[in-house]
Amino acid sequence: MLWNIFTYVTVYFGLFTGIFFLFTFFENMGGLKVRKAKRFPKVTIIVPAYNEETTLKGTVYSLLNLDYPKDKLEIIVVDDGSKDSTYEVAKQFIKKGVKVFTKENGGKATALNFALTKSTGELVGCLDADSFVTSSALKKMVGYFEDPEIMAVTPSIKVWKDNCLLQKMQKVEYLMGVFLRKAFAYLDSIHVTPGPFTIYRKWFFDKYGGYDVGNLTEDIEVALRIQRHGFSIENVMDANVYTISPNKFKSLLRQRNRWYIGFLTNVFNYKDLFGLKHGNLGILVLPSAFISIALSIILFLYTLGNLLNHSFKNLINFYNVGFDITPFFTNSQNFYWDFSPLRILALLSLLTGILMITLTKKYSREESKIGFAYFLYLIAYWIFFAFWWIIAISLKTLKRQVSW
Amino acid sequence: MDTNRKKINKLKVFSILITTTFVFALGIFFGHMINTSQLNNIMEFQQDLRTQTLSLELQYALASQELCVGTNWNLVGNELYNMGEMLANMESSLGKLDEDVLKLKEYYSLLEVKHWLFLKNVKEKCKSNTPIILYFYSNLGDCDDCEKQGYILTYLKKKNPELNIFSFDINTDNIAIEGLKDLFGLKGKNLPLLIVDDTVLEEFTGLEELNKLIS
Repeated sequence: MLWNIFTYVTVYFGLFTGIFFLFTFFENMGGLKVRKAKRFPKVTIIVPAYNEETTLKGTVYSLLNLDYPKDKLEIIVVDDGSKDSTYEVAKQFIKKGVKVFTKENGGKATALNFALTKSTGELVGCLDADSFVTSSALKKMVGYFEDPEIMAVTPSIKVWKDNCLLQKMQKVEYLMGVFLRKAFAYLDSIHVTPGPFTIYRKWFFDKYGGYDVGNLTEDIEVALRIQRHGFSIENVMDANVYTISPNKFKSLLRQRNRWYIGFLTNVFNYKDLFGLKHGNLGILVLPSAFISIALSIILFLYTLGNLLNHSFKNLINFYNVGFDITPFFTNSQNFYWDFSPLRILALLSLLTGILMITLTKKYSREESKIGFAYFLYLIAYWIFFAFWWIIAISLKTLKRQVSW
Repeated sequence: MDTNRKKINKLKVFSILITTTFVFALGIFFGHMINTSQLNNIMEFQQDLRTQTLSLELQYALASQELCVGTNWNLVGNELYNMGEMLANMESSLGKLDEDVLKLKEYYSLLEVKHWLFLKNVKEKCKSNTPIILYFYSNLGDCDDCEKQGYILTYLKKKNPELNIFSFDINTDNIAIEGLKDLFGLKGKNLPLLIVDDTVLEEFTGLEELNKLIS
């Protein structure tokens, strides 16, 4: 009975948030038009690199290919004390006008802060050395800075090449993120300015300090700081940036530990953002993030418990019939199709998800087919999501160290 | 920049709450509608079974002396078994305490008792060796071994389709089941309970022992 109530509450919450974000998106669709820049301010793009010898070239080439006046574009590569040949790879680009520096290893934030002292741009952005930007992205983004309230503009982050099941699942997750970030932008509630290619006004760092050194997710910290100071963060849905996503369970888990622990730490440090004063962010977006995490964890633990219980019972049953389970594979016509209200409602929630992905594909100009990946995402993602959160919360509670 | 974006639009939130509640109610309505339609199908199936049982009994009453040769008296038994499987699936979906499930199970038990009495009669007249198994269980959490026993019986039925197994939920409230309990002196005995022809087996019975009894 209690479980039934919980599942209905979960579905209602899922439907409410789904409809809310879809409604917000449709309500503001007029804002999807590209805001053409009246002028092209000077932009500095920083590429912090640590042991990125294999991907750095692609990253820098994508920046050199940007459709933006060359005299208004400054590219700075900072080798953060790599142990491989990252610095040598970076130096090859000096003749193409790229500024290259090397320093002792100190973490991404130190590399970014170092580059901030060298940058001359009015706008400044970062591109992780495992990401690539599409040539039109920057031009589409700078137009938004004509509004003085806009302190940062985020692009759409997508997965570069989905070669394995894990990457396929992440591909859909990222697409869902593209939709949500746009909906959050309409609500002025973006609370993550992703590492890959978010563009900021340089003076924000000059006035309010650089990147937070030692912070696991400095991109979340900056976003929350911008929100705390009452500025806005925009998003351009079809300014596409591609990133290489982890293809191994272990590396993906390590990445999520960093993200989720970083999220918890930063949101705790900026807990004053909760509440009426910060409007949609404080009342709807941040609380709903926490509610969905809690609901997923409970659902995961209950399902896991049930699964273990069923597996144990089945094992005993198989043992009792001498592991001869072939008779059970006979075609049975006596199946009762369960169309209980809960399943119909879950199906409706699913439809909101499908609509979000469809809108994302259309407005972010995503051309790849995602049918199978979406199926995989539906089946497996919530399990991964809850699992990562359980691990992250456990590590945070036990105060274990996580590095970037 | 539209500075109102930060502010909560109370009217919007309220409208979306109303919309969500409407969609939610619609989902519940459709779910119930589909379930009711399925329940009606099962009820129709039960009515068909009742008609079949009556026809069979009439056929038996009117049959000539060769009634034991070439007539498969257990066609209804197999249909009953299918019905039982469907009800078990339905029970696991809708819950053990679902009113519709309980009603269907009560009627199903009556059909089972009726057909058991009929088969018992045929078995005596035709001196058949095919065993008839009655299985009493409870699924209210007071019988740890009932699930295991049920699994073994399903296995046996799948292996030997001619086997007659009638299962009864001991908690089903009807006079016929009470009558069976009195007939076999089951009150106070531990579940699961099996009656293979006239042998009463108390508590869990393994596959080997059951195979011996039915062979």
